[in-house]
Amino acid sequence: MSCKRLRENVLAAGAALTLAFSAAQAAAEDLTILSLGGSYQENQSQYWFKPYAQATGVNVKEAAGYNFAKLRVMIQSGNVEADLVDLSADSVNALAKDGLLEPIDWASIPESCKAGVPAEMRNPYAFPTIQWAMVMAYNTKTYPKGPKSWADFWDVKAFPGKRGSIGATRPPIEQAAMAVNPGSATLYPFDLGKAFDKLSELGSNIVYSDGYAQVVQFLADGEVDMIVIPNGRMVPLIAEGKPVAINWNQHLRFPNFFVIPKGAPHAKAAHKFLNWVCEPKTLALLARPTNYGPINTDAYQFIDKDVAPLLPGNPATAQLGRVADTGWLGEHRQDIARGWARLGAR
Amino acid sequence: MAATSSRSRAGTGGRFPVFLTPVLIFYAVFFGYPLLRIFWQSVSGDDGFTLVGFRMFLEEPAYWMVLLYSGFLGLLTLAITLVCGYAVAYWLVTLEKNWAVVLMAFVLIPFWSSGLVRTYAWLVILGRQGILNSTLMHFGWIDTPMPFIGTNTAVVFALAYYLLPYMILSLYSVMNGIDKNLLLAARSLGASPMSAFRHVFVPLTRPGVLAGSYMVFMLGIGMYITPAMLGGPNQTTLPLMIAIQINEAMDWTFAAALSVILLVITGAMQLMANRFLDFDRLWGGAK
Repeated sequence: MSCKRLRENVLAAGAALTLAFSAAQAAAEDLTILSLGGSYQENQSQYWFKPYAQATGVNVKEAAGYNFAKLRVMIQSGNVEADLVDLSADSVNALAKDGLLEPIDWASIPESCKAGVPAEMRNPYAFPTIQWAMVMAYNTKTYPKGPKSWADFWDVKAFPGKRGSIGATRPPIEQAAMAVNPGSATLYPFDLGKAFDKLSELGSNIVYSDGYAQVVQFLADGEVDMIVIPNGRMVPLIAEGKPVAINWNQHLRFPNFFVIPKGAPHAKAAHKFLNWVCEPKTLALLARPTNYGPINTDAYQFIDKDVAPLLPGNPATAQLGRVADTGWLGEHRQDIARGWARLGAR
Repeated sequence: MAATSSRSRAGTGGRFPVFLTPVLIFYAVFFGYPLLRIFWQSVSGDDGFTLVGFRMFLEEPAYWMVLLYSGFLGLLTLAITLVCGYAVAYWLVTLEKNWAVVLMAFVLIPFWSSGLVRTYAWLVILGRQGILNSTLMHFGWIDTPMPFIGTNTAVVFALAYYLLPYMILSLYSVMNGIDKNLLLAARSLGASPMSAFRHVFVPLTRPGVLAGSYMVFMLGIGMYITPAMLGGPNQTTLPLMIAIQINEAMDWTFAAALSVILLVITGAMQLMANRFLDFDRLWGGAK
């Protein structure tokens, strides 16, 4: 076969394939959602993704286990495999800055979905879903009179015992800053050097781990008695009846978003899903199993009285903490990494 | 290592081995090209060419400490594995062949499970409520649990445990090829057992010692999971800092610069090793 003939044949076959593929697409709409895995995604799947697929006939595929680096490479390379991604606020800022996110069509979002979303959460590139809180959790047997503040967390005389936190990936610098200056309203901006000084004060009284799962395991095993942890991570321990409690004072809330990556193959399908999932009643379904709070305040109408107090951002505890300034944190990533290296070099 | 042996074969035979072409292409595409990209990434910032990544390293003594600590960890691990590995390998070659094979299998068994699992096992052993602490407390040797996790002790122990088989294998392959009659000859000429061991056996194991040391040191300074899981901020190694830069600080220029620094150091060591090591002799056994 001549070279030219071969090329023509290949082109023809390619065209036929493309046609066949687009025909299949028209038959059943595809939507690939990339989330954070674990029990969080299991609940998302059970209460959001699968019901949506059943209600609309859309072929919803799920993926899990990404980190920011992989996600950025995926979008930059143009080989985008996800239509919707569950993302933290600081990652939203970083990706939006690099122009790697599709804008959210807020005009098409139903009015019933928008009413309860605070104005500052209406990000042009991200749709807010839930918020989690970085809290203090402690062993109630070791500390019957529980610690009340980050100053107590640092007070190893009044509260002897080991502390736990994740280390390199997210050292507890804000908590250290609040141990020095308790007013959480005036937390940002703070002096990173002083925060790391405070962190080094704890010395061997704090055990750093590589991931949150390990931090929680350490508290469950009695390896440590006091930890810095996202509140949802405590749900299984509390359900098992372990002697642990959460201190909501000086907590920090972190919103999570759905974003559509630039070049997503089914951006329209992703928007349709957003218009469905955004209803307060739907958002509320995740509250009981995950203990993560809806950002849409209207969702609280659909949340039981026994669950509401456990959620970040609920009226009872919201005043005890604040929303983290992820923009400020994002700008100081390199300084935080350098501070961690210096902490080790002391 | 593959490159070394192919080069020496080509040197003696003189003809390019055509059957290696697929492998070479594979290496060029999936190893050579990404490596070049890392070099490129290390000097490219938002506005084109930059040396900011290397400057950041040079300007911050904390990063030098991270590098020094990686080297210190490699050397300490090397010393421990060399002492332990030498004893074990010597014992193995003195055993009857059948026993040596069985025991060699025990040396290799740890390779059946992943490094992550084996590191996790150390968490269970060294934890505050771990096996070691509860044993020590049971016998009343200590009153309160010792803090092992987050210390050099934990990282060095786990690292030495992880890398010991590499040392044993290197030493064993060389020791196994040493003619025992040489030792007997030394004895018959009046050398004491100790002196025959020191002046005849030990010098003959030199290629194994060098190769094993080289391998353990290289793997030791590049190890990620052990210091990540068992160490604290004081156990931050260069690979850990590279990971932090990629995932947390999101400064890929600096991450690439750190990678290049690590690569240059290991490359320099490789060149030095090539001068002192005869790989053909090592893999073929001592003659």
